[in-house]
Amino acid sequence: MKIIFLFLLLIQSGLGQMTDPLAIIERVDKNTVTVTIHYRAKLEISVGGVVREKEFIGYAQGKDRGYMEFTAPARDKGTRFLKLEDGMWIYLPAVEKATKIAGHMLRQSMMGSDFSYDDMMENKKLRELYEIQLTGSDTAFGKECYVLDLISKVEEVAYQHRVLWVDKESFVPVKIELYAKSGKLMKEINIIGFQRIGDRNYPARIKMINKLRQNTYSEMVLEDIRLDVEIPPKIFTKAYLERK
Amino acid sequence: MREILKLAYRNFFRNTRRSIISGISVAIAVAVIIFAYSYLKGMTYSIIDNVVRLVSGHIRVTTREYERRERMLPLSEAVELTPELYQALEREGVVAVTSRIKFGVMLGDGDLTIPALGFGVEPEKETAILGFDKRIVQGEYIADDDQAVILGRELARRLGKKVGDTLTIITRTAYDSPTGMNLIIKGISATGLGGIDRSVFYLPLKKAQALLDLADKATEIVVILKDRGRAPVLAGAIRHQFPDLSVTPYQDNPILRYLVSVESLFMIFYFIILLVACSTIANTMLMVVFERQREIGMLKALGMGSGSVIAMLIIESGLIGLTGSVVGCLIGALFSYWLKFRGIDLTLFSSTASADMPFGPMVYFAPTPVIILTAFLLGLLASTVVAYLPVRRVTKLDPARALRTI
Repeated sequence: MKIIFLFLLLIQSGLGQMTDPLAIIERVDKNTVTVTIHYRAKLEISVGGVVREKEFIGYAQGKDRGYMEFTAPARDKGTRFLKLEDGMWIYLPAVEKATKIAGHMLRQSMMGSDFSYDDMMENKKLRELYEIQLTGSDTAFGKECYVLDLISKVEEVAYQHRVLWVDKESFVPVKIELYAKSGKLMKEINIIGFQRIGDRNYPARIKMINKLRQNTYSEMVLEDIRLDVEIPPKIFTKAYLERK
Repeated sequence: MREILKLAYRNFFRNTRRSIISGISVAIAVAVIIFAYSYLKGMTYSIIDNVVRLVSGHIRVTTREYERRERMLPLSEAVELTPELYQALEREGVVAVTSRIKFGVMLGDGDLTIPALGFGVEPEKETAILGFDKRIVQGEYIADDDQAVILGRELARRLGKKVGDTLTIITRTAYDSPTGMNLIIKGISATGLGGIDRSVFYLPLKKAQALLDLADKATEIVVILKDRGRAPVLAGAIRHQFPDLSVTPYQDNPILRYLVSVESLFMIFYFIILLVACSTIANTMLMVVFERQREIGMLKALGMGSGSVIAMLIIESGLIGLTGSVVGCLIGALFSYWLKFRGIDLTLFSSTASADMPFGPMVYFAPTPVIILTAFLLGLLASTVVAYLPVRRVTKLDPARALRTI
């Protein structure tokens, strides 16, 4: 009897169709939300057919702490960002001191890309922020997907409404549409590739298309991704941000 | 006709006090018109001068997209400063060609943030255009290679900065990346133009290009001509050579276009002032007609036609107008020419007089012979026109009845 029960459970959760949107989003959050992360990244920004490339390293701890430092090109080398619980700071080598980024600026383009500062530093569980509904199945980028409709249940979210196409196999949201409160489509995220790290499928190649700009996209490729490793606490300090 | 003139002249002196009072009202109106017209002209010249120096030059060259979205200050739409473009701009009749970069920035530390407008300029060339070297009230003017800024006096006060302090600029490049620079405050300027002194700072073009990732680019090129009247023709020629660029003569500047329409509106206003002033003449002439009914009856009985009587009375009114206009012209011209050289300081009347106006606190009147002649002719015309209405009742006057009235 026990064996039959376990078999049925296995069918429902893994092999068969899932019908519980919370269970699906939990699998998505498990893949994408980390305790800590350390990576190197390449950012390709295409505006009107002109492509510029940037490189940076990033650290994040939980939902409130993040650090990014640009390493290329020469013009941006040494530009650093620090996110703490009470705000975000930028350090520009030419200025030699950290400056707080005003709240409304966090939703603006980061380094001229289609990603905003908020997008880059996002590491919160969707389940805690949104009411979730499973609206059906669809195919996106050749993958069979669950389509989830997310409506925000808290005020402090960058996007009031999201639609996710979650790959039924990897539980990676291969396509995400981000909407404003007005219902206007603002951005589209395509997760083109992921890396299997431990028991997670972590997004490693992400394309962001800002629908409010014309003829632009930004693509970020993460390398040397290390998840849930210890990060020295000094990294998330203003002293480290302003170091010479 | 000589007799009519003689009679009108004599009548003018029959009630001197009344003629003088009527004449004074015309004189005041004519003087006010010269005064107001000269003030408006002076203000217009001041605005044209400021718009040309600070905004558009005699000709301004930008990209078409920049012109269209200028309110957003789109750095990505800057003009490429090629040798070909400079060669085309530095043609005969051109006194100076200079490039500028205009960009928005939030200045300040911590909780204090002040929106400001930065101008990357070529300091050497701008001495003849912007003339900021003459407006420095503290410190010195900047040089082409200085890592320094000139701050507007009010902006410096709001930021709590003085000469020698460091100003940190954090903004975005033309490609939207964050960028910053520390600059030494080398000078503080006062133009008397509220908007500029409150929110504008100037730094060398080379530094602005480095700051904003705009190597060999500028948001606008300003051209100054020897003869500004040729601006539309030269702009047309440059446009023909560079059809992708927006080439605008200063006459097309919206502020100046607005001024032209205001000037014609004021002409109507002047005429209304005169008509009101001349109502005293109308009143005088009405009284004259009533007073002299017997006399007019007599003249008509002696064979003088209604037309001649009307002409006589209108000439009498015209004489009052003529005298008033001459006196008004003298007073108006005297005051206006005095204020042409002395100027009038608007801050005497209001501390916010030039808060956001495109003209300085000192306005120099600009009287011209044309203004004086116009006011004189308007005075004369109005005084004869208003006399006609009361005087035309003469035609209805029956000589026999008129003679019997007294």
